[in-house]
Amino acid sequence: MVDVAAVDETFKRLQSHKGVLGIIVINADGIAIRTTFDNDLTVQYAALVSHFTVKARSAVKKLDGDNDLKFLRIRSKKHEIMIAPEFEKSHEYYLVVVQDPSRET
Amino acid sequence: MGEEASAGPPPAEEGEVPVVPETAGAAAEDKLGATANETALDGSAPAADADSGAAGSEVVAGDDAPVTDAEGAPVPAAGGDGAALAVATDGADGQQGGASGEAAAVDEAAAEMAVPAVPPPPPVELEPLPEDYVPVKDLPPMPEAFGRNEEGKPIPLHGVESLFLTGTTVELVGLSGLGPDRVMGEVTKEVLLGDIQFRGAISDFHALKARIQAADYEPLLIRIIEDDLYGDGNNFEIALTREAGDMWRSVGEEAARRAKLLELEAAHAAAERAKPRSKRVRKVKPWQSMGSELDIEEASVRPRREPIRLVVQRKRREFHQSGVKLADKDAHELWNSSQMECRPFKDPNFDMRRMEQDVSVQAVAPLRETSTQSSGAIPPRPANTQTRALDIDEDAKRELLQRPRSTPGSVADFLERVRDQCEVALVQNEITNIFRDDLAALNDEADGGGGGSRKETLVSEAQSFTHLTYSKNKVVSAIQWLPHRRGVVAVACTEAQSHAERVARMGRTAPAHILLWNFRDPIHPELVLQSPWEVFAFQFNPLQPDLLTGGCYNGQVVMWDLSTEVDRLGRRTAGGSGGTAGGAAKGVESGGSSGAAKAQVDLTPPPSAPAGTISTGGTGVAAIGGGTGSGDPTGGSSADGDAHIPVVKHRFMTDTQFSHHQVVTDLQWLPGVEISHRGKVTKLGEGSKECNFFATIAADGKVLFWDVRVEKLLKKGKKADDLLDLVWKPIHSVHLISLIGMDLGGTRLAFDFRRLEHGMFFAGSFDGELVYADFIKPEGEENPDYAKSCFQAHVGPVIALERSPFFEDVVLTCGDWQWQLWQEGSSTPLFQSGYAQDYYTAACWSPTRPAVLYLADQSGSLEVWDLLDRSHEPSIRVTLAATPIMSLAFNPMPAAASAAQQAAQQLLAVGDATGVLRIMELPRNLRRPVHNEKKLMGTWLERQQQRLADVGSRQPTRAGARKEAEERKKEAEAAALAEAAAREAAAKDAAAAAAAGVPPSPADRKDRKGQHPAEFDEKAEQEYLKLEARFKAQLGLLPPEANGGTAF
Repeated sequence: MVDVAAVDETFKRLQSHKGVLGIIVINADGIAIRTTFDNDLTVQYAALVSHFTVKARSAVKKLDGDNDLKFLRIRSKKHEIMIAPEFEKSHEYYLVVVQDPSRET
Repeated sequence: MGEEASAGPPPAEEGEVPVVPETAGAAAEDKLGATANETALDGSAPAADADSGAAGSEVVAGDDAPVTDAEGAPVPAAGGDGAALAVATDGADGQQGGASGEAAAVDEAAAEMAVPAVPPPPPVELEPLPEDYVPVKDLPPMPEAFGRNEEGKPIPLHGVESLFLTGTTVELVGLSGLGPDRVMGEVTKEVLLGDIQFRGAISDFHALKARIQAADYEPLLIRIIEDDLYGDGNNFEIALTREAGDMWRSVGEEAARRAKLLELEAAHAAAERAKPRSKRVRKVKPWQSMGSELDIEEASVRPRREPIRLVVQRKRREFHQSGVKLADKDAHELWNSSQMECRPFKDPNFDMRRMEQDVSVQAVAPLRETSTQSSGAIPPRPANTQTRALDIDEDAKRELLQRPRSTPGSVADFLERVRDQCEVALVQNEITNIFRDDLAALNDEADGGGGGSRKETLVSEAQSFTHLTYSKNKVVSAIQWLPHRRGVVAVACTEAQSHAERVARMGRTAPAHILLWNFRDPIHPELVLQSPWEVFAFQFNPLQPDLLTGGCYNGQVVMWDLSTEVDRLGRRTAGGSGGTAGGAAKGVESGGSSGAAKAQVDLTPPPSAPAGTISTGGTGVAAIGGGTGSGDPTGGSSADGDAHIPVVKHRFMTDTQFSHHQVVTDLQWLPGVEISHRGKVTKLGEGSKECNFFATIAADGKVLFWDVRVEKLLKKGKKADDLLDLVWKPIHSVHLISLIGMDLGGTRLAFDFRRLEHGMFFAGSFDGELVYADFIKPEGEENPDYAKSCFQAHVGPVIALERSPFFEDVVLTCGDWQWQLWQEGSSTPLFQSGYAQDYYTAACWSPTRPAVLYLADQSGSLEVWDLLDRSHEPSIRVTLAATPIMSLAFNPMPAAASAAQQAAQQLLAVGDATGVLRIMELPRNLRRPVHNEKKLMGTWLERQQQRLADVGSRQPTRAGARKEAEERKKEAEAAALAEAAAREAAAKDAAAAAAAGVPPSPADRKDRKGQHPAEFDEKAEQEYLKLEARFKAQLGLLPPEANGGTAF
């Protein structure tokens, strides 16, 4: 239970930043484990972001086999999508944060 | 049908069976001798008849009975003796039949088809029908109980007399039992004679007495005559001879027999009917000819001649000759064509004739129409790409989330590790504007930095328009861009006359014109709108651009409807594109040749004759062209082309009585609202395409609201011809009063188009007042005061009043040498410019830059004020013309255009006092707003508000200080006055003392001057006296005591 609280606390903390629209934690299969978006948007983000991240990582790794992807920021016209991946063998998660800094929270 | 002709050689065409019986039969017969093999059969029975013991077998042919086919024939033949073959075999019999040449006798036998009469089985219960039973209806007709004469009419038999018996007689002789059932009765002679004797002459038998006595049999028979058979009215007849009586008896017996037979027959028939269908006995009916035998006759084939009878014989010993060897052969050898003895060949003699038959078959694919339609509710997607998102159940998710720290796969750990990265990024985004386009800003800076080309920084003239007849030396008093067409500007031209000159010629109509200039033709206006009076303000209906209204000098409002002209214009521009292209070369560098070419193109006669004014104008221009000489191609061509310019007269004009009484100075359409007669304003729905109202302001202090749907005013029953009688009245009127209580001489109107329904507007006046008023009539007040506030803004007429396109509550006013910014609701201007060198004549906001203003002045200069750059002087000042600029207008942009588009196509139309319309191109830095300009301008306005507030807050202190200063000044003045009075008195005394011939002393001279110079003069005088005294002392002219007295 303590660890769930830690997760909650992290979410809360990230959400306190200005213009954060939503946060998702995705597992290696592209399944959202925890989200603050509604279901449809979560499914969309989970599917698209996990594919994109895998691609981005393979690009980095192909350029240099020792290298690895650490962080990914996608800036769009409306907001920025930040992806913090972790590629451990046993457990692979992505943290996705969507932010529109021009919007007041 | 048909038969077999199986001659040695099989038919040439394999499998082909002869169809024509005659030929086949003939062929068979002709071949018999040659091949020793023959036939035509009649069924298998005759073949079976072929006697095995006989040397020859008989075969009956020639009948039309069905024939077995080739395969059927050999079987009976084989059943007979192998030596005699009288059978049709095919090629195979070359082995057998060919060797034994046996003859076959052909005979004819007619097959009698006799149908035996099958006696019906006797019914079980019923009395059997007699042996010689013949159905009753088939029996010979019943013998008649009477004879017939030559004509066939019935007559009594010989020995029979007909007689009439009365009912009494019938009873008397005992015949009353006779009737239809029993037609005959017996009466003895004795009775009859007794009756004759008893009744004498009245007896019915009296006449026959002798014959009755002579009758040769006893008793006599009497029959009823039915239906007056003999036609003599008698009803009975009597047989008087035995012969006749026997005849009658036999007839009666026969009738009884037949009746009984009938009965029996009926009973049998009923029994038969009662049986089930399968058990019924069918009677074989004798054949009855209905003509079918003829058909059969026709269809049947009969031999035309007697069958030939021939006998082929061979001696018995000649059978089985030693020379014949029989051996087995392989089938493939046997059937090999090289080994076969009997090879097929084509014999022209037996070439088969074939009947031709034309048959055609056509396959027609069945046509079927079907259709399917998808519902469209779900976007089509192939079934194999439809997906559903993977998911895991909530428990699994929770398990993952709850996985304790520092175990593999702990989400909490993961978040701990990545959180900082994310936060850094988030904070970065918070402190810098991530959406700012740095490259675009860079571009702006490059432009604004002064490094651009001349074109990018200077206001340059793109085009200019003037027309010798309509606009030369006139004042361009109003400019409007056509809202729906690009590159078309309308200008109103008025005479350059002073008010006094106008008053002098008041009352006479002065036709004036509005010209529509198209950028494609700088020489000829596209259209000329004629008005009976000079137009000082006009505007196109923003939503129905074919309508425009203008305010005239005499206060009337006129309306033009261009919708009828649009087609004509379209044709004209399409047809004259060559000419306008020539003209678009600005006509300046175009020599005489291009001018001539243009004139040629334009010379095509117009479809409709122009109005009279045009023809006179044309001649006037021609005169001018002639005066200036042929060196001016534009002048010449415009004279030629004038005839083409269509002139449109106004459609409606307001009624003089209800119009303004002075010059209409401004006119504005009010889209999206509906104004009622009672001064109520209702807002139309969003996106409403209606714009039916406009407001005018004039120098008579009234703001009038008009409904453009003039046709509505037409009374019922009036026709369109009566339009001239129409009284076009304003639907609402607002009267404004100036500061000094007179009618406000209104000059400009400024509505808030975003909130028209609130009714608040600004109006400027000739006296420089700015009025903030409400045009909605309050309830229940007959003459309400519409003006909410009135300020003295300028000293001269307010020549411009415009709301900022970016800040709704900020209004630009311009008059005399100054412009001001006012904020709605404040009583002091937000900002006042410094006084300019020249009198301002026009002003407007930039449509794209919130902080930029354009002002035109009387010297012909255009000033551009960029308030963010500097506010004490214009940022740019360009001299456009030598004559005063009278009006400014920006080209309108469709609301849908983006800011960048608007910035890219910004043109400023400038009209001057000599009738020239100039289209100015603005430099990029004036078109394109700088980054955050609106925000910056907002803060600038705020700063001005703060300044005002600050000034206001210091007002009491400053007022006190001013009061103090004034008091001090007053005291000083009072003191000075008192001193002056004292001096004056002293001077008077001195004057009185020196009255006798003494030249006036310096003090006297001082008196003639003003109050202030007096002291100065006195000082100077003293100095002078000192100098004089010293000089005299030096010269020794003065006594020493005097010298010492005056010395220092």
